[in-house]
Amino acid sequence: MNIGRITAIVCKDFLEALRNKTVLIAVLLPLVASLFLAAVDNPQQPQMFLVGVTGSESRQLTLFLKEAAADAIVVSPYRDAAAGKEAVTQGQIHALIVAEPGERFIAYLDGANPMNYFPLKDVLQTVLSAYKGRRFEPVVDLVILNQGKTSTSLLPLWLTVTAVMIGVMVLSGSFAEEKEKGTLDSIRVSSAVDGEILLGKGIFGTLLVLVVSSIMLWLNKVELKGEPAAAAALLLILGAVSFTAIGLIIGLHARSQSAARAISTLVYLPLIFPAVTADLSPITRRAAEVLPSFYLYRGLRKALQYQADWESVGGEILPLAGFALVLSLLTLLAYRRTLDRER
Amino acid sequence: MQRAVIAMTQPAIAVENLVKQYGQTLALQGISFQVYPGEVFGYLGPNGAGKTTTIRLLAGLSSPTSGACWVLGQPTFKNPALYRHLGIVFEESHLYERLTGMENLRFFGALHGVPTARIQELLETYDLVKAAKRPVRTYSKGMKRRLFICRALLHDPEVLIMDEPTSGLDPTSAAVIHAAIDHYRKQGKTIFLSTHDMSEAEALCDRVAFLSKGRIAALDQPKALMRRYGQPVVVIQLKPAAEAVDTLEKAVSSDQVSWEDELLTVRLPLDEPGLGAKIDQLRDWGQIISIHTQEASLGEVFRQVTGTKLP
Ligand SMILES: Nc1ncnc2c1ncn2[C@@H]1O[C@H](COP(=O)(O)OP(=O)(O)O)[C@@H](O)[C@H]1O
Ligand SMILES: [Mg+2]
Repeated sequence: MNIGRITAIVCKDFLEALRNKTVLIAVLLPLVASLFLAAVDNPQQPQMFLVGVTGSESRQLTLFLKEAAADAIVVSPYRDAAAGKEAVTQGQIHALIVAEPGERFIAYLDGANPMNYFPLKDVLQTVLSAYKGRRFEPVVDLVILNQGKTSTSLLPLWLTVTAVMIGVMVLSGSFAEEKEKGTLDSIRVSSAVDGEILLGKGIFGTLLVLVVSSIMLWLNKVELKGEPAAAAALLLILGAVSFTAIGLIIGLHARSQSAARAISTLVYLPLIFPAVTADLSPITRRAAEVLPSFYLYRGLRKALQYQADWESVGGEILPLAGFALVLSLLTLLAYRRTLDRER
Repeated sequence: MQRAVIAMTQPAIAVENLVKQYGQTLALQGISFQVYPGEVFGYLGPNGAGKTTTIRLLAGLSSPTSGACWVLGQPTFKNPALYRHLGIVFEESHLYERLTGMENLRFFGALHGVPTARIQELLETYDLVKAAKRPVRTYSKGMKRRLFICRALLHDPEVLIMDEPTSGLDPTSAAVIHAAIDHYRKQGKTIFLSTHDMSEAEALCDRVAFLSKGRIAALDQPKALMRRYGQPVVVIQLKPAAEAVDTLEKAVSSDQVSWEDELLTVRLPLDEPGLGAKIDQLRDWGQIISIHTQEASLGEVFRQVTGTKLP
C-alpha cells in the first residue's frame, strides 16, 4: 500500500467531481433541500383547527366556541352527524362535535395526522369542559422540551438520504465511467495495485459524504459536542463506507455509465424507503432491519435529536460496522472477479 | 552473427503459443514470437486481426486462454511490478476529459512516483505546454494522442507498447509520433508497434510480423520479406491507340493492368519469360509514356502472404 498513490486517486476524484454537473447536482440537491427544513422551525401562524358542529345544542355551542376559542377553532355547522363524519373522513375538517343534551358530547377526530390529533384533543377537552360549566383540571404541568427543533428531527432523514445518494449514485457512476472510458485500464497499467485503486475510490466516496454532511449540519446551525458528535461522525463514516461499497459494486457490474445510473436508481429506493418508514408497521420494520440505511437513520436520530451517548447508539453502530466490513469485502471480491474476466 | 548475439540475450517480449478465445471467437490461434531489446517491432494486420487482443495480454489486462507471454522475463498477468518498466499507448486515448492535460499527467505521474520536472520535459517535447492548462475535452484527436504518449512515457519505461498510435491522425500529427518513436529507439528502448499502415512499418520497424485472423503469417525484417515474397516489377505507362484497346485487354491478364484517365498502367514481373517481346508488343499498340522498375511494397507482400488486403 502506498499512501501517495491512494491520495492521488482521492484528489483526482474530487477534482473530477467538482467539474461534473451530474455529481454536483447529486451533492447540491440534498443540501438545498435541507435548507428548507430551517423554515419548519419558525411557523408563521399558530395552527387553526377546523371543527364541525351538529346536534340540537349546536347553536349555543357554536356561539360559545366563537366567543371562547376564536384564536384556535374555526367552527362550521353540519346538518347531521353523518354529513359531519363524512367531512372528517375526507379531511375537510379536523373534528366533528355532536352536541346533544346530556352528560357528554361525542367528538369525532381525524386520526390520520398525529401532529394534529393530540393538540386538538387537548383544545377540545379544555373548551368543552368550560362550556359545560365544569372546571377542567389538568393533573400534570406540561413542560415542552425540544420545542423549535423540528429540523433536528428531519435532519437525520436528510443525512441518510445524502449518504445513500452520494455513495450509491455518485460512486457507481464514477466507477462505471472509468471502466467505460478506459481510464481504469490506464490506472491499472501504472504501479497502483488493486487494493490502492479500491481504497482510493472508497476514501473519496466516504470523504464526499462527510464533507456534504458537515456542510448540511452547518447550514442548519446544528451544534454537536462531545459524545453525540463523535457518535454521529462514526455513524456517518460507517454508513458512507457501506453505501460507497454498494455504489462500487454496482459500478463494477454495470456495462456503461447509463446502466450504472439505472441500476443505482433501482437500488436507491428500496434502500431508503423501508428505513425511514420502519416505525409505521412491523413489515416495514422487518424489511428495514436488513438495511444499513435503517441503522444509520435511527442512530443519527438518537445522536442529533436526543444527544445520545456511546452506549445508547451501540445498537446502531455495531450492525452498521458489520455492514461496512462485509460490503467492503464484497467489493474487493467483485473487483477481482469482474476484472479477471474479460469484458 | 549479429542476430546470434541478440538472440542470446533475454528477449524484451516473449510470446509462446498464445491463444485467446472470446465466447465462440478465436481471436488468437496460437501465436509465438520474440522481440529483442532495442528493436522496433511492427505488428501488422487489418482490423480484427487480433492486434489489440495481443496488446491487452501483453499489458496484463486479460489472461490468455492458453499459452503465455513475458515482458522483460516476467509474466504479465497480475504482475503490478512489471508496470515500472512498461509503458502502454492504448488504441483510444484513455484520459480524464474534465481535467486539464497537466492535471492528467500529475495524476498518472503520482501513480508512478514521477517528479514534476519530468512532466514539464515531456510537455515541451510534445509541444503541449500551452494546451496543458486546458481541459482535455477541448483537445484535438492528435493532441489527445500526444498527451497519452506523454502519459505512457512518464516513467521512462524500458519497453513501450503502442496500439495503432497514428490511426485516424492527420499526416502532421502522425509525423510527430513517428519522430517520437525514432527518438525513443535511439535511446535503446524496445518498441512494440501495432499498425495497419504499411509505409509506417516499412519506415520505422526493424522487424515486422504479419498478423492475419489470429495467426502470424510471416515474420522478418521488412527488406527480407520484400526480397522473399515481393517480386520487383516493370511498370509501363501506355497511351493506347483507340483501335487496339480490345486486343490489348485480352493480351494482358487483368490484375496486371489499371486505367487512369486515358493512360493504361501495366505491371509485369521482372522475371516474366519473354518480357522484352511483351514490351515490344505494347509499343505496337500505343505510345509508351514511361517505363521503370519498382520494388514490391510491404503492402503488396502482405497481400501475397495473407491473401488479404490492408486498407
Ligand atoms: N471483448 C471481446 N469480446 C468478444 N470478441 C472480441 C473482444 N475483443 C475482441 N474481440 C474479437 O477478437 C477479434 C480480434 O479483435 P482485436 O484484437 O480488437 O483486433 P485488432 O485490434 O487487430 O483490430 C475480433 O474478431 C474481435 O471481434
Ligand atoms: Mg485494435
